[in-house]
Amino acid sequence: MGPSGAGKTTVLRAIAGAVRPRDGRIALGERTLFDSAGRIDLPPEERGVGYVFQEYALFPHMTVRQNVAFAGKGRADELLERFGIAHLAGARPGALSGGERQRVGLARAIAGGPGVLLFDEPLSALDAHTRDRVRAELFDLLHELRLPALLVTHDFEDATSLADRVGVIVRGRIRQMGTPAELLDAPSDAFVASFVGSNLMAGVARGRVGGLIEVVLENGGVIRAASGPESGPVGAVVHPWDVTLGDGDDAPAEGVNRIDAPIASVAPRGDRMRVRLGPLVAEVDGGVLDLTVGRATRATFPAATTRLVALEGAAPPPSPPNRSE
Amino acid sequence: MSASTPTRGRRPRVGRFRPFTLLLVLAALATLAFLLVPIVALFVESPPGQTLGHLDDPVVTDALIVTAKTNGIAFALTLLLGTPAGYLIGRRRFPGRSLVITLIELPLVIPPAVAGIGLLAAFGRFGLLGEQVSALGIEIGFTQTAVVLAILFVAGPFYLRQAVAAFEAVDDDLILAARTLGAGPGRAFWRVALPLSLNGLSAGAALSLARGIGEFGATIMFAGSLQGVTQTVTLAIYDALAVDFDVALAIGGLLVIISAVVLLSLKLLLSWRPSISTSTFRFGTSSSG
Repeated sequence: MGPSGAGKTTVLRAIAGAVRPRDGRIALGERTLFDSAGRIDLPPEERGVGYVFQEYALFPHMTVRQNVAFAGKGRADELLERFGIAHLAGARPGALSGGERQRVGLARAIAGGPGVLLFDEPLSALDAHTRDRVRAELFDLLHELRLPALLVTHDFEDATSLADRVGVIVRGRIRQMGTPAELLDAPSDAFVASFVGSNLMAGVARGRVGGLIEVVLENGGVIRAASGPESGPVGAVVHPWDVTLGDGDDAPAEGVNRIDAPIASVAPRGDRMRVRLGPLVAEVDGGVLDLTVGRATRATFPAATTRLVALEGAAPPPSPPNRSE
Repeated sequence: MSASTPTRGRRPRVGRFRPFTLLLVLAALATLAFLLVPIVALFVESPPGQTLGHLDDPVVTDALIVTAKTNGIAFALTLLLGTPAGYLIGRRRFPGRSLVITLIELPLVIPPAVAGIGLLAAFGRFGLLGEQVSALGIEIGFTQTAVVLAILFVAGPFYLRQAVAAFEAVDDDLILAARTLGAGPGRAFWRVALPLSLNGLSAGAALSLARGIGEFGATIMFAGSLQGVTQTVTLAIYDALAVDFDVALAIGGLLVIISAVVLLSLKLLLSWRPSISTSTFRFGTSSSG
C-alpha cells in the first residue's frame, strides 16, 4: 500500500522479472527467482508468477477462451466455468465490461498454475458497487486457492478486507509492516497514520502532565495523548470513529480531548456521516445530531486512544482519494 | 437561437455561406485535379486496348519479368530482415537508438541517383567492398543482383520505419503478460506482438513494394538498363521515350494499373482481418496501425 509513485508496482514487476533490481534477492518458497549476489535472474516465463494487471492486459486479438488458454489449454474450460464467464468464451475483450475483463484476467493468470499471484490495483478500475462485490469474490477465491498473493493498492479498505499482512511503502521504502489492526492501532509514522484514514493533527509536544502528553496544536488548542514522542513536532493520530460530536457546554471529563469548531463539510458514507470540522474528521451515525454546515459544534475524543507520531518536517501526504468528502 | 448567437458545437449552419469552407473545397479540388490529370492523360493518350496490345512486345515482357523477379526477391528480403530488425529497434532501449532510427530514415531523403552512386561506391568494381567482392569472383554492378540491392536500399527503409513504429506501439503490459504466462521472447513475438502490429506492417509493406516497383534513379546508376537483365519497367519507359513515345505511354499505363492493383489488394487484405480497432470506418487504417 502506498501513494502513487511509491514504488508498489515496481515491486510487482521485479517479482515478475520485468525489472531487474540493482541489488537483492527474490525467492518464492524454495526457488530463488533473482539473486544479485548469486547471479541468478530467471526470465519471466520461468518464474511461475501469475500477474493480474491494473488494466488487465487482455490480448485484444484473441477471444476470451484463447486468452485463458494462453498458458496451456488444459484448464481453460474448467476455469471459464468457475469464474462464470463460460458464456463469454467466444467474445473479444473489447466487448466486455470491466468486471468481466477482470475475471478473464484472473482466470488467465491462474490457468498457468502459478506459485504466487500478483495483483496491481485490481479494484481501482471498477465502480464502487462492483468493487465491493469483487472484493468479496476475491477474498473467497484467495482462500480457496491457498496461493500466496501480493496485492498492490492505494485503498486501505482493500487491505483490511483482504490482507493478512500489510506493508506501507512511501517513496521506495517500507514504513511499516503488520496486520491491518496493528497499522490502525499503532501507526509507526505520519504516513502510515494518514494512509489508514486516521486524523493527523500537526502540533508540538511539550512533555507529560499527569500521565498524559500535552500537545499544542497548530490552531492553538491543547490536547492530550497517551503515547508517542514527548517533545518536538508531532502529529496527533485520532480515528474518525473515536470522535464524538455534541453541543454540550459542560466542562469536558478528565482524559477527554475537546475541540470546538464550526462544521466545514458533511458527507454521507454508507449509513454514517463524515463530518469535517476544524482540523478533524469525525465519523458519526447520521440523524442523531443537527449537522448543518457552519454550525458551531464540539468534538470530543479520548486521550487514551490518541497517539502521537513524529513529524519529520516534510508534510505527510493528504488522505487517499477515495476518502474524499 | 437568435442571429447574434455564435455558432457552437458541430452542426454546420444550413444554408449559410462560409468563405473558409469554400477555400477548403477549392484547395482540395485543385490538389485532386493536379494529381489526377497526369493519370487521366495517360489513359486518354493511350487507351487500355492499345496498352494491353503492347503486352506481346518483348521489351515490355522482359521488363515485366525483370521487375517482378527483382521486386519479389527484394520484397521477401525486406520482410524477412526488416521484421525482426524493426522488432528489436522498436522495443529495446539502447544507447544511440535515436541515431539508429535517423540512419534508417536517411535513405528516404537521399536522392535516388545519389543512392545509386553510393551503391557503386560500395559494391562497384572499384568500390569500398568491390575488391573483396571481385576476389570472390562475383560481379555486382550492372547485374540483376544490383537491381535487388538498389530496391532494398531505396524501398527497404519504408518498411523498416513502419515496422519500428508498429512494434513500438504494442503495449508493454501485453508482452509482459505473455511472458508471465510462460511464453519465451519468441512466442511472445509470434503470438502477441506480430498479430497486433499487422496493420502497421502491412501499410509499410505496401509502401515499400510500391516504391520498389517505381524505383528508377538508383537502378539506372548502379545496374544500368540492359533489356532482359536489369531493365525494369520504369527503365523501359525511359528508354522507350527516345524511340517510340507510344510504347512509353503504354508501359506507363500498365505500371499505373499494376500499382493500383497492388495497392488495392493490400488494402483489401487488411480489411479482411477482423478489426480490433475502435474505428468504425471500414478502410480507416492509419499508417501506424
